[in-house]
Amino acid sequence: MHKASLAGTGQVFSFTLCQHYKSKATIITLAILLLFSLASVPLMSRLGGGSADPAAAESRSETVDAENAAFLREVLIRNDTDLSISPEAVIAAVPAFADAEFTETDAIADLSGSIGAAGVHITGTDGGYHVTVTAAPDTVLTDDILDALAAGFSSAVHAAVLDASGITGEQLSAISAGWSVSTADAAKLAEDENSYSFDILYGVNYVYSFAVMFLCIMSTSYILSAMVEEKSSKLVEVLLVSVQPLALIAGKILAVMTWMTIDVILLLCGFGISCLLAPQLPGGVSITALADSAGLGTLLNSLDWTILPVILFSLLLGYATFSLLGGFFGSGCSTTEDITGANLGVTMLVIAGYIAAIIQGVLESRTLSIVLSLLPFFSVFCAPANYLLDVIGPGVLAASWLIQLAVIAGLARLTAAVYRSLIFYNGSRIKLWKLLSVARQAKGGAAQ
Amino acid sequence: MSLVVSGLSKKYGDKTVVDNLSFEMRQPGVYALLGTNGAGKTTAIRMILGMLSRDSGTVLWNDAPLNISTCNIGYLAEERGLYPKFNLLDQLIYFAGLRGVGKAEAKKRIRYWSRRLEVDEYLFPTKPVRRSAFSAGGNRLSNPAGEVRELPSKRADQLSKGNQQKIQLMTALISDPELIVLDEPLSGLDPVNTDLFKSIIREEISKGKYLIMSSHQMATVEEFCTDITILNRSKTILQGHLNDIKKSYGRVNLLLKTERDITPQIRESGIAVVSENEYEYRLKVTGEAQANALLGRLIAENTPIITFDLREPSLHEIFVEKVGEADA
Repeated sequence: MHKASLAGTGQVFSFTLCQHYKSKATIITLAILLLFSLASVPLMSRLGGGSADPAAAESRSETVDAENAAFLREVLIRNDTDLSISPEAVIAAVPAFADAEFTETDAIADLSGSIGAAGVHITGTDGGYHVTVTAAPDTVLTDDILDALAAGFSSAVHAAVLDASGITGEQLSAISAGWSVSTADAAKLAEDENSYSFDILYGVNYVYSFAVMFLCIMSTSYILSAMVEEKSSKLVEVLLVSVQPLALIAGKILAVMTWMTIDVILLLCGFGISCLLAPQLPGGVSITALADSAGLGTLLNSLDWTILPVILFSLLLGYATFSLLGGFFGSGCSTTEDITGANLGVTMLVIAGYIAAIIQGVLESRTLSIVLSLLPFFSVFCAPANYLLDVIGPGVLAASWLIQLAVIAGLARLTAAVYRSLIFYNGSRIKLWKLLSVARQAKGGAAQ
Repeated sequence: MSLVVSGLSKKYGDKTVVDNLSFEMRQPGVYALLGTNGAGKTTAIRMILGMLSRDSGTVLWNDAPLNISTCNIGYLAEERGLYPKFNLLDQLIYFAGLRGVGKAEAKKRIRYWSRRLEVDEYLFPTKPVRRSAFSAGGNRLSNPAGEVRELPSKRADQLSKGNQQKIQLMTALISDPELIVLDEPLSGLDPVNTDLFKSIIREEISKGKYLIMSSHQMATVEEFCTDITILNRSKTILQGHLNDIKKSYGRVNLLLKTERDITPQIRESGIAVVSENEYEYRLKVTGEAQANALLGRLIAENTPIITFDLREPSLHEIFVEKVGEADA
């Protein structure tokens, strides 16, 4: 690839990037996505709040402050169980209610007029217990206070059950931990010694490949649109007296990769701020609590985040690969109507990679994982996750990258040749087999 | 400086679109590339500029292969192309940047050309600042200081076709190119803008630039071009210095206007009539002698003569004749 072929790439890159961010639609979309990412964790915790999950309810109890809790004057307790539930256990769980008066009663009367009173009705048997919190219609007690009260009583019921059973919390955790049985030979035993659980394998592959799929499909669409726009607005002739076709494509691909990376980083920052803010807000929970309630807690705790650069580099390779592929297919397009058809081929390949990543997570086959980690196009989806999960080592990962870089270089040459050949093409969309034929014949000429 | 095009050819399958085209420019000026629709002019231009590959032939600029790194080229394409939704100023700075012109210098040149082409209201629109004050007599004055503020430049889709063409010309000239290629530069322009474009072309010629022009407007070509090539169905059917070509035809076109009918005299002289309209006769003579003989007879007969104009054929007439011969 001649150095002069890439002259002007910088200008194409900076112009494309600047014009993208000068667009009002882009700014508005980005602002909306940023707002969503900032609100994501509080929103998730809010949507998951008020549930019967004692753990979730217990964690929310920490958010009631003394000022609000002071509105709670009286708590009427109707305990229809055999458990001995003490107000002290409630106050231990929610210290803010220390000043409230707890009274046991046989029936919770109409609380109308008692704006600072709440009623707690505990029912159930050994099969399960239920805590119902009520307040007067004109109560001054907020939902947070009632939730916290429910959480406190949940905690008290939990403690009472353990007490009645004569076991401690630690003993309960040990009993309910669960176990699995499998048979294996000694070699596999050694291999599996440090392997992750099925949930983690599946989860990591799913999340990572979904992210890659989303980003690759988006970047391909942008590339196709950018290429066709210049053809349909007859700009190519003006540009070609100043810059080579390869520089045009390279500049655009780099610009699209950059703005997608910027958008992802901004959204991740928004999500990060959201994680930090959520526990501080009324009714909010931390991301770890949310992950725990979704069964992802173990996954997050197990991951080694120092491999983030590996993931980012692999993502970049994925961008480049599928962007060039988009450029290759886009070379055969003349109008915006052709974009959908051109996009289809790339989209199908992306989805195939995504499905392959899911399947390898399900099958837990080391051989399959290694093959998919080395196979071009599929390695984008599989290799980083496999490395993260210790299915492949640094050597295989490096080999995967080298193969991918070679594919990118080859695709770049192919795309540049086809793009140059078809730069003045103005007809119906050229299909794959014809594009390959053009690529074979390409000497920098153009078909009409 | 020199531009030498030798043996350019291009085929698409079995169809030859440019067949062995050759010409040279050894001094500044305008070279005309003419031809019927589909003759191969645009393909030839694209091959010269390196946008299309050539099946054969060479293009040398100062004895070295012509490409965008060895020659500063300005190109006004036949099909107008601008980013419709992008700010015009940004686009012009971008195109200038692609040819190595820095941002500050590009802005200076854009200001110059926008005034020259009378499009500064689109590139540097302004709006009076709203500020009010009161005069000594107590009357409210709006914008008393006459201050204006600059607004963002317009987009291409907000301009008329003619103004877009002016912007396009700016993109071709902004880098002060050595070689300027104009493909149908005056198509779609009103007479005022046509004159404006022509004056700019003359300026570029006076600066010693090399221009290649392709046009169907023969009158315009005659105004500027010194050398021409006429293409028909991929082949070169006429080439050379325009004056020499015209002289080779001789002065055979006679425009004669009288105050009465002289058809019998014309018939008797054996002169061919090209057209006639209310005593205005366009005639084809064999030479000056035949024309002078007719003149002498008319004078002898005291025929009032308003116009007697013996001249060489126009480029339009040569073109039509040559293409007709080639098609026959």
